[in-house]
Parts: sequence; C-alpha cells; structure tokens
Amino acid sequence: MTDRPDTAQGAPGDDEAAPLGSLGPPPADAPGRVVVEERMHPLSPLVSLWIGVVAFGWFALTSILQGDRTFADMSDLVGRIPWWLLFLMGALLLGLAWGYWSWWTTKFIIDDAELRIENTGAFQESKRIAFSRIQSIDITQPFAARLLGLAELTIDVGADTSTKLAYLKRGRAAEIRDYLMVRAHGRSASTKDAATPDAAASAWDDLSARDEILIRLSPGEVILGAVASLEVIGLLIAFGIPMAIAAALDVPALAVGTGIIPLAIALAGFLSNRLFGQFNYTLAQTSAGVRITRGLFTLKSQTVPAHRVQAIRISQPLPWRWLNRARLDVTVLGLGLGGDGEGPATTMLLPIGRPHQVQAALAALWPGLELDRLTFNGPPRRARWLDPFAFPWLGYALDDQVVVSRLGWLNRTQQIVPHARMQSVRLTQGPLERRVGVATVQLHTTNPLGERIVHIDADEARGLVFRQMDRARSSRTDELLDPPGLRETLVHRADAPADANVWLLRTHTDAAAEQQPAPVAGYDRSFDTGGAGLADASPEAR
Amino acid sequence: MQALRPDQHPADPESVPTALSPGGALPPLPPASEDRLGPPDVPAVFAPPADTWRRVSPKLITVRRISSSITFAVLALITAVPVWFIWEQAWAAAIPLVVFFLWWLWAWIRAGRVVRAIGYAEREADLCVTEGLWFKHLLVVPFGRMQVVKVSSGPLLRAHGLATVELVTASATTDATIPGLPLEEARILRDRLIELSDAKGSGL
Repeated sequence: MTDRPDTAQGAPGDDEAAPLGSLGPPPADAPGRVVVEERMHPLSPLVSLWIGVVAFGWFALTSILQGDRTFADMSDLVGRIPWWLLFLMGALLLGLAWGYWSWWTTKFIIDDAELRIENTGAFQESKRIAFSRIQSIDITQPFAARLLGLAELTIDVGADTSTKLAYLKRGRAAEIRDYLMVRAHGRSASTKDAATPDAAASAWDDLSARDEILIRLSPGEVILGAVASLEVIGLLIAFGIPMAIAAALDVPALAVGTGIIPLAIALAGFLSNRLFGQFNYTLAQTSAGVRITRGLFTLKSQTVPAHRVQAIRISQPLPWRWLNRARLDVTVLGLGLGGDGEGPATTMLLPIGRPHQVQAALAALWPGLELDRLTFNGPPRRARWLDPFAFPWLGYALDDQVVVSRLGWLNRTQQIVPHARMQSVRLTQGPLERRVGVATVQLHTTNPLGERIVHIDADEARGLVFRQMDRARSSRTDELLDPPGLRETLVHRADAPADANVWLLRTHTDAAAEQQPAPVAGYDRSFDTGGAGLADASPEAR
Repeated sequence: MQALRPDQHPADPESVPTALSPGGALPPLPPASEDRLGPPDVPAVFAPPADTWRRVSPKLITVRRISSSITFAVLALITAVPVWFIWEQAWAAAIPLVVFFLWWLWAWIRAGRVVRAIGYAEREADLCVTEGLWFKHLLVVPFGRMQVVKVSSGPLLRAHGLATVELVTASATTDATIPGLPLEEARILRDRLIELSDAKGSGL
C-alpha cells in the first residue's frame, strides 16, 4: 500500500477494494507505516438517507409515468408540486450535499498501531483507536445497505460510545474487521489454521470456509422460543384482565377494543420483531472468537472473543423447562453489543437451544466446562422458607476456573463467572437471613446486574468471600503470566515471489508452538497477532 | 486503567514492588484515635478481616444528623403545604408533619449506630469495607481492580473537616464508599490506594 499513496476508494464502481494483503513486514520494522487509507463507500450518504431518496425517486417516477409528462413539461410540473414537497426535496438535497461533503472529508487510516478516523470537514476531528483497546467489532447491514451490498462496522473500545465506519463494501468490511480483530486480540485470539479469506460468501451469514458452524436455528425454533417466552405470557395476562372484565360486564365491543385488538398488535409486533431479528441465527467458531450472525432484513454479525467474556448466563423460563430448551447470554465489556432490550453489555449468544446445543455453545466460549459434572452446594434446609419456590434449585458450584450460581424460580438461571473476571465480592446479610444464620454473596463483574449466591450458611459465605478473592487473584495472575489461547506466526507465503509483500498468519496451538516452522525471509519473529490468513489477500497472489 | 510505568510490568511479579514491603514509599495511615478503632460488637460473620476495623470519624454523626434534619424539613414542608391547601384542614396537614418528625427522630437516634457500623480495613491485596445495621454488608475490592479513586467533600462535610473516599472498579455494582474520613486520612488513603492499585494492577 505504501507504494500506492493515493489509495482513496473514491470513484463509484471501484469494485476492487484495496487489499489488506500487502500489509508489509511486521510492525517493528517500519513504525507508522500506513496499511489502509481510504474513504467510506461513495454510496454511504445515499444509504443514510435512503428513505428520503426512495420516496423522492418514487414520487418522480410516478408523476412522470402517470401524468403523461415528459421532461419538457418539467416547469409545469414544478408549478403543481405542493410547497411542502419542494421543502422536503430541498432538505433532502441539502442532507445529501452535507452527507457527500462529510464523506469526502472523512478518511479512515489503519497503520501499524492504531485505527484513525480523520475528519477535515466543518469540524476538524481525529479519532484514534489503539488496536489493543478494541474490545469487539460488529458488522451490521441495515436493509438498504444490504440491498447495495454495503455494511457498517461498529468498533467497541469498552467506552460508552462506539465508533462506526459506515458504510463499506461488505467483503471489505469483513476484511477490515478480521484484520482489526487479529491485531486487537493479540495472542489471546483463538483460531483455526489460516486459510485464504473468502469472507461474505453468502448473503445470509458472515462466514468463510474456515469457520465452523456450531448451531443454526430454524425459524421454527425461533418462533417457538418467542411464543413460549415469559414476555408473551405477560402480554396475555396484561390484556387478559381487561378482556375478562369486559366479558364479565357482557360488553363484547369493549372486549374487542381493549383486549383482543391491542393484544393482537402487541403480539404481532413482538413475534415479528423476534423472528426478523433472530432469523437464521447462526453460531459459529471463527478465528477471532464465537460469531453470531442473524437477521432477516437487517443482518447483524457479532463476534465475541472468548477471552473477553466477563460472565455467562444460562436461563430457562418456566415454559421452556417443559420444552427442554434454554438460552445463553454472555456479558462482554463494552456497550456496542447491546440491543434486544437485554441491557447494555449483554449479548444473547443462543436465543433458544436444546441441552446439547447449549453445551456446544458453552464449550465454544469456555472449553472444558461441564456443568453436569460440578457438584452444587445448596443453602441449608433451615433457610427453606426464605425462598420456598426456588429453594430446590438454589446453589453454587466451584471449579478451578469458574464459579457457577443457580438462582430463580419463574426463570431458572445458572450464572457462570470466571474467577479471573471478578471485580469485587460483597457479603450481605439481611435481618431475616440473620435469624436463620445464612448470608448472600454477591459477585461483581462488569455485568451491571451482578451475580449472587443466595442464602448459604453464614460462615461458609464469609469463607467463600475471602477464598474467592484469592482465587480471583491467582487465576488472574496466571492468565497474565501465561496468556491463554494460541500463538501465531507471520510467515512468508511459499508460492509467492520472494520480494512480494505477501504474508500468511500461521496459528499454532500451544502444544504445536514448540515445533513451529522456521520463519521465512528474514522476518524471524513471531508477533502478537491472533487470527488467520488475512495477510495473503494481495491480488497478485491470488 | 492504571498508568504503567515503563520500567514496570504487572505481569511480572518480580519487578513489582510489593506496596506493603518495608522499602516501599507508601505513606502510612495516621494512627486512629481510640473511639475509631472498632469495638468487636459485630457478629462473627462481619468480623474484621485484619486485626480491627478502622471506623470513620464520629463527626460524621453530626453531619448525618444535620443533613437528615434539612432533608426531612424540606420533605415535611413540600407534603404538608399541598395537603393543607387541598383539604383546608390543619389536622390533615399535621399528619405528614408528625410522620416526618417521627422518622427524623428515628434517624437522629440511629445516626450514631449507623456511623459506628461503617469501617474499613486493608488486607494484603484488597480493601474491605463494611457498613449497615439491619442489612449488613462486607465488600472486598482487590487493589488490582480499582480503576478510579475519588475523594469528594461537600460543604457540610468540609465544614467538619471530613471527606468521602470512593473506589470505582469496572463493575457498576461495586459501591465501595468510605464516608466521613478526616481530610488528612482521606488524602493518605487515596495515595495508598492509587499506589497499591498501580503495583497490583491486573487490568480488566
């Protein structure tokens, strides 16, 4: 790229995006080297204003078709257009002009250390994101963008605002996402062996050949999950009461007006929202972590890097217990993963699944954790009356990596907190608990809801608090000293000419890292990038 | 995020000066007066993890009483006046006044016990904070998890020479607040905590 300084992808129809492949040598050799410098896709302002553009286009089309008018009559036509429409058109054109100006003055630049977004328009603005600060990157394709093959990148740094790159060509967005993830996650990325990137092969998901699909939900499962949810039961109860009153008063019109019609609207809205949002829900193991792709109209692709997981929750609402289904949520640092009304920092990892699917998803996030093999300690029997319905379910279990806590009655949950992710612990005892001699332990993670182990024996709870503190410290120290995950080496591609800047990221498991191949062509250092195969996308090499 | 000095790496325990080591330049906490070292009247579950809890300053009792007086006076007025205007009966307006007076009296009497129940203690690698009478809490925050240490002092606290020290971690549920420390002790505790979290920092 450095030998092509003018790399702005300006011209419409410039389909060949600049490859990320010619990344050049490893970073330390040339600090400050610019890897990518380009604008967003030229159609971006149109996509942002797509409703206006479509409406305007539709109006122009219909007025020309219906009115038997040619463009010679345009002045006549303008005279007949109502003033507010002209006003809207003016606003639209102004918006487009503004959009194109800021499109022209905004560039994003990736160099060896950071991503920069430079705006030199009305407001001089330069945003810098160091790779190591990137927590997660999502790809979103709103409907209009999807029709044009564009996508938006949402880059989360764990702060309260996320950075967006809107819009890029889809394949390009996937490429940049993969590259940034590789740089962001360092050695803690988990990955399969490198392969040629062929991102965005299908319009329905965001997977390449090297990604392994773990779970794909059928629309039937999604609908089942939505219909049998506590939300639907809540809606039925909420609207059932006015209906029952109206029926009791023998006023059928009132029953229809206050109960059936609003209920139908609310149910249709909820169910279609769920179905459209979770359509074709796909969970896959990728080089950068577990990837969720979903959506009928708006396609969303979220990648959850395994070692950024702060907490995991398995929940089972009452109706799902009979259906033998459960759902899985994870908490990841940062807010960009939000949505679905699940709170800011929680991502639904599996909206509904059978036990073996839940186990598969869990294994992808936290290999080696088998909940069935843990022994759960419950609260003492004398505390039974404090929580009679949930009592048989309550309990906690420990292994050397995580603590698992069971809570709830209408919605049975199992909360899994890795020792290394615990922020602080609190011991709490209310007056009722004091009478029985039990106490509650709260485990604080970045999950705003927190996790609790309720009503366990008071002395046991106190011991657990301090032991848990020690466990958190030692497992965090272990992790810092010996980061988990895989190691990668940047190797020269064998079939490329010796002087071409074509590189492959080779990944090794820890065991295989000992016998890695001798690095090629003078770059005898493996560096801290995780992930796979991004480095060989140069067109010359294809 | 704690600042990382170039000569220091948290992942390497050898290079980390243990803050509690005798050679460290950690400012020692000032000796607490007799009335601030907690009497062992707490249940065993909330017993001090170190030798004793360090209580907050007894002046906080006065501060709490003044601020609760102001709060209840305002609350009583803004409920009693509308009630009086609506019912135009003096006895109706007296009900909220009596209710808030009793509430205030109760808060006044309890303030001493509530403040004496607040205490903190440093352990080797974490800070423990306890509080509460009915609902007792014992919070343990590892030094390595502290992101921000805040010291604040409102006009009322400042008039009594007190300040509040608050620890912020990456978790929104951690509410480690030590109210009513003497200004000097608050300053020293802040410096100690920053130093300790620097030395034992473990990121997110």
